[in-house]
Amino acid sequence: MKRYILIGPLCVLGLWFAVTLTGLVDPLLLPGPVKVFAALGRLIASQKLWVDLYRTVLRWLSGVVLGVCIGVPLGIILGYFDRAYRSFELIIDFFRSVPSLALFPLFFVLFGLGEMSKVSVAAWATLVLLLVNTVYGVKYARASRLRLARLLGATTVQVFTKIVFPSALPHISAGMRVALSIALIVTVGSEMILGGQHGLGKSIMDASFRFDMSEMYATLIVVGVIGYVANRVFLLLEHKAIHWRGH
Amino acid sequence: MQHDRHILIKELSVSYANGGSPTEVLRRFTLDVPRGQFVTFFGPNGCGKTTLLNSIAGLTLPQSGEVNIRGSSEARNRIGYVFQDYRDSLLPWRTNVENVAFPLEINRVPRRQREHTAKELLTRLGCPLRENGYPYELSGGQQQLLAIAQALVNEPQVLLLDEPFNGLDYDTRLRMHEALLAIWAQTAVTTLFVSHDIEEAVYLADRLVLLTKRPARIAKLLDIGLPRPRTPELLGKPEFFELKTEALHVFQRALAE
Repeated sequence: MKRYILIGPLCVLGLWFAVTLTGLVDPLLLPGPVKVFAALGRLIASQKLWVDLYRTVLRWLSGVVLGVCIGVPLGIILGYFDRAYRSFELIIDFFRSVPSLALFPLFFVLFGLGEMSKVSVAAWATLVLLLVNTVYGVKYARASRLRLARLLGATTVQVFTKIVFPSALPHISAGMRVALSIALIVTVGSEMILGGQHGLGKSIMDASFRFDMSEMYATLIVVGVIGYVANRVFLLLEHKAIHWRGH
Repeated sequence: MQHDRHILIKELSVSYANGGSPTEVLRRFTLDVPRGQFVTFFGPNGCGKTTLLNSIAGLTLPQSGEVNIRGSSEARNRIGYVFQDYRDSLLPWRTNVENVAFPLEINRVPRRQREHTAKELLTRLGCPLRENGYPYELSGGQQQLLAIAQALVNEPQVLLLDEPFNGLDYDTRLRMHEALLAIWAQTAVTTLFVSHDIEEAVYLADRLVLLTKRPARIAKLLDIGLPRPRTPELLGKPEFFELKTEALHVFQRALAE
């Protein structure tokens, strides 16, 4: 059964070979797989890739952590106090509709050229997503479970930590999984726009400016692999940590 | 012998603001329940039975009247409540034992002690569960038993049950009746049981409260003098059938009103 998952990738690889070997696509724009994977090999052997990778991952995950740390508590509060949520609903929906990268110039002005502006876009993207997901998680926590807490005379802190937060966890983690992907996109995007020191996004831009398409594609593959692995690892952890999903 | 009155419900009126006009659910409802008695409630659908239990539990505030539970200053903690849907009281992220121990945790009983109490209670209830399993792995009957254990873990003086055996198949229900009556006999907890099954309501009760349509009044109080312990054989006896028939007549008159 497992073998099936390889069919898709092999098809793409085959197509890639086909269009490059037949000259259907300009090899300057899309080099063949052999060239690209050779470039990937060179990249892996070089120190540069690891420095870029490290910087990107650091920015990306700092942004995610920051966004989670702000978005989740905020979402719990807004989700719990219905009036608060309705007061901010419009503004939340508005910002949710604005692509995070479009806000980049604003962050750039606010935080300057340094790391902070890149981290903050990723954090923003995460925050908006987690805020909304947490709000929904909290709002749709069974009212009856709150009734149980009330019956037992639970304190507000106990209600939040023992009922509201765990109830919202499946929604929160679903939000985190999406946020991981989006934050990676945004991080790499901001590196492309702003350049700065190192980073996979900058590397991709640099390679394309040098017209080194093999290296550009090789770096793209690296970005894709990170996103894929992150998603997989997260799914695995989620499955373990939130075993009660759906109940 | 003069009964020790435990729960005094006096002129209780509850209405809900339902959109525009308020719906009156209870109107000057009055009832005394002696300590240790098993009282069942039976009445038309939506007549206010759940509201009555919620008022006794202090979850619903009445417009007027009062519920007085005697002999306990901290009455709130002394009420065990089994909700209509057991999923309402079982938290799926907690293990079975943690669920039973939940009320103790809210009362800040140390972990070791509360888990010991919970396990002991489960054993006493004859409820062989995987302690570290989760409620969603259990059958409906086992989950309901777990919810009952949770309601009992505080050693309440009053146990409220709101149609707790809905949705269980017949033989599971018979077993649950047996288990519940055994607990009741052991603990002498004053028990208020809302049922939508007239046979169950007669079978379990010392006293059966037959209710009218909303707003609920007492249509009739039936003393069920059947011998205890009750066993399923009773269901076939003529004295049981007589009581059931009488209850049914009252119910039908209440519906026709």
